[in-house]
Amino acid sequence: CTIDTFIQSIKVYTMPLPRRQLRRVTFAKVVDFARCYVSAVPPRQRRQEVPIFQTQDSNPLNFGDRDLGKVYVTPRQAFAEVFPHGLRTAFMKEVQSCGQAGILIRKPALDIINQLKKQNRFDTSLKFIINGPDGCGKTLTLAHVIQYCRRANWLLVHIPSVFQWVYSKQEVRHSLHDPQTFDQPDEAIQWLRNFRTVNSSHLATLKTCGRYTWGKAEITKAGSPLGNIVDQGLQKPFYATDAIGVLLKELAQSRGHKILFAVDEFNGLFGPTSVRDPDKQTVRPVALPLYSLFPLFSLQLKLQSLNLVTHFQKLMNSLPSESSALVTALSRRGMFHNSSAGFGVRDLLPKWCLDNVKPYVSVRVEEYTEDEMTTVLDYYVHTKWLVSGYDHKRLIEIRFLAARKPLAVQQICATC
Amino acid sequence: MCSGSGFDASCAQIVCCSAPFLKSRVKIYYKSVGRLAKMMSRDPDTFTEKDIEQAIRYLLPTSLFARDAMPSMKHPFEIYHTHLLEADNFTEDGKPKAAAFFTGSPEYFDLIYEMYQQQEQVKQMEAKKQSEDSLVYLHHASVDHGQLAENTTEHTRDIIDESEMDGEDFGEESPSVTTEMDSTAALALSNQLGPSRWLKKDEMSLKLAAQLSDQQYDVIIARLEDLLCMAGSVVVKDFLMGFRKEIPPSVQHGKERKLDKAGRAYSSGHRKCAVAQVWVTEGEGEGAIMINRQLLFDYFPKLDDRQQIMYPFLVVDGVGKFNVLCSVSGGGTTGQAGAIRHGISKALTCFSESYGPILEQAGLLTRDPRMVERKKPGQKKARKKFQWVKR
Repeated sequence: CTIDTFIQSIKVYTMPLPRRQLRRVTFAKVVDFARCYVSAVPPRQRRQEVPIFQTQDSNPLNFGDRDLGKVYVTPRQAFAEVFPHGLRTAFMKEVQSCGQAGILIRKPALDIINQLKKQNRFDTSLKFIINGPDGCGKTLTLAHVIQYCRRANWLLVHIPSVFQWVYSKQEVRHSLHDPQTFDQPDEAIQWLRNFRTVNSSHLATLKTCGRYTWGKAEITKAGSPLGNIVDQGLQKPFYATDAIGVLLKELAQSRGHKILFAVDEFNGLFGPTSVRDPDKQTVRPVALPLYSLFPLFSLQLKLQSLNLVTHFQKLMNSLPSESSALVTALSRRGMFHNSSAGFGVRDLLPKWCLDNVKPYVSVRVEEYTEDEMTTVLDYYVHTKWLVSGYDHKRLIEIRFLAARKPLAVQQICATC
Repeated sequence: MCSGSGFDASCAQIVCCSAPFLKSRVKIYYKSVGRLAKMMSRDPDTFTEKDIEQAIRYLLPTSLFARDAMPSMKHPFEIYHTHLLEADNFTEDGKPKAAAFFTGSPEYFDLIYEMYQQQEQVKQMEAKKQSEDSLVYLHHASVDHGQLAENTTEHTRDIIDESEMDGEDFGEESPSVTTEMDSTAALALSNQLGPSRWLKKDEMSLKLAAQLSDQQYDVIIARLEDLLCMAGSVVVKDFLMGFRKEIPPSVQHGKERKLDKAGRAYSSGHRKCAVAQVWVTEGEGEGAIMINRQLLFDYFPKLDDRQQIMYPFLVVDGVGKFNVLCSVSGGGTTGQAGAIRHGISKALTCFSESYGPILEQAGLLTRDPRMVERKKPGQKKARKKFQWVKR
């Protein structure tokens, strides 16, 4: 709705006034009135002067190969709607100070998105594992894919940080559903809240298949909207983790709806935790295939596991094939008990996990190329992140010090 | 101190060697000493210099504080240095030629006066120039401050391609257009004077053919500095150069370094307890740095350490143009970074003759001598003391 159409509508629908009143009501006054009323509506999009390094429009749906190497910009508010939890600290600081999130369009992200676009033709669900050296853009590649899926109206199941669950210092409780396992109510509630913010439109339309009893009295009937389960978890903290389990089970069974399962720090789901239970023992996530193959052993192994983790592990096994995709990013930074020098898929994920996740596509995210470096520095100068500007000599210095790694480039530019 | 009995004998000796001028002076001196002793009812034979001083203080009390201004009675030898007493310095009548002879150091005071004359010359030049410039100044509407705003304008791809713009090094600002004439003039002058230093005290004494005291030397240097800082001091450049000594381009201390057959430069570097062996070669494209078989970024996660290693290349304007292979052991992270930096600097001197002086000026060729200070008994650490207890 533009101002012009609104004003035209006023012209059509206003009653004819007597002459003496007409003199008082001039067209300018009508326009002023209309502008006040219509201020909430954005003005007609003028062709704004966009810098060379920026894409013309910032809709991820429209990006193609010609946009490779350009930065697309999301205003801070819109970014917070898709990522209520935020992303990496360093990037969020940049978003905070620049007032917008600028993500470079790089080949790995576009490759994944192109695959997702073609997905209708394939039977098996697509699984991507984004890996690469530290600080090179794995999380932001994931963020780009998430933004695309959001615009394409997919349902987003996004774990922003597995390490926050698995190395948390928050309270851990024995699960009401299965006393030998452990719940994390604080993390679960936060996740459910974020899930609701991001997917509010979908939660009303998707319906449950099964019937669930919460505790003694409360029942969620089959066919009720998924939003009920989320609300159940939010209202009753002790059931929050179970609510997540139910939610994921339902989503695994859903057909037709496009779902994106996005997990950052995927390797955290399969390694040791640093969570202590009330008896000061370290809690371990359970290795799932052993559970499925040896039910007898599982009784012993089932001791001490984190439910949040096992819910998502189970999900990996049973993704709905035609309409969903799993896109995960690994992270070596922040991983406890890690002595591997490498950062590839085989270095960070145990073999039994890989066997479970096959067939997967390994997507490698590396350091900036020369062109990407200059684009990014242009962007930083434009947003005054790099305050003192740069020239050829400086570019060489930054390249030397940062070894073309995106995170290091950002940190060095912040201090310049 | 000559006693009364030995007076005639020593006087005879003196009379033989030195000018007739001095003869009378010495005679007068000894007579005065005798009289003074009698005034104080003392034996002239046992009257020492200290007694003379006390007597004069008593007889001629003064409220002055400057020693030079107080009345004193000194032996002529102490007042007139031997070199002044050569026969050439006196006319046939026995009168001294130099106008400032009786100050005791005529060369010093003559120099002071000469500097004053030079100053007057410079001031005249300045006054003349100002009157010329005032006409020119009226034509210029405003001073161009464009250079100051250079770095804050928005960049596009086109600007980056210009190679004329100078890069900034770690936040140092390029000299902007200022209106302080003194600093720029002095800068210009010091450039014309070349790398040089003021003469030292003994050199100055040689030049003036006089003995200078420390205070006299300090005064001369201070006045010369003032002269140098004046705006129009270009005029007196020759005069000033007479008091400056050139600093020759530094000779490399230590071994003379060469490239080996493969075109590599090897050197070792040290800092604290860390020892680095460094091989530097000219690289093509982006220079690669390997430390203990790891990349620079992996071996030194801290930015400061990487900056230290970049510093020699920055100084020499060769960032990314050299490959470096090094092995380092001992010490901690910062020590190792410093050792590698030292090694790189020493190795870089092989590649061009001009690199050596620049690196030395930057202080990169000096092995940092600071080591961990030992712990002392009775103290907690090297400097930290135990907690002070009142009782």
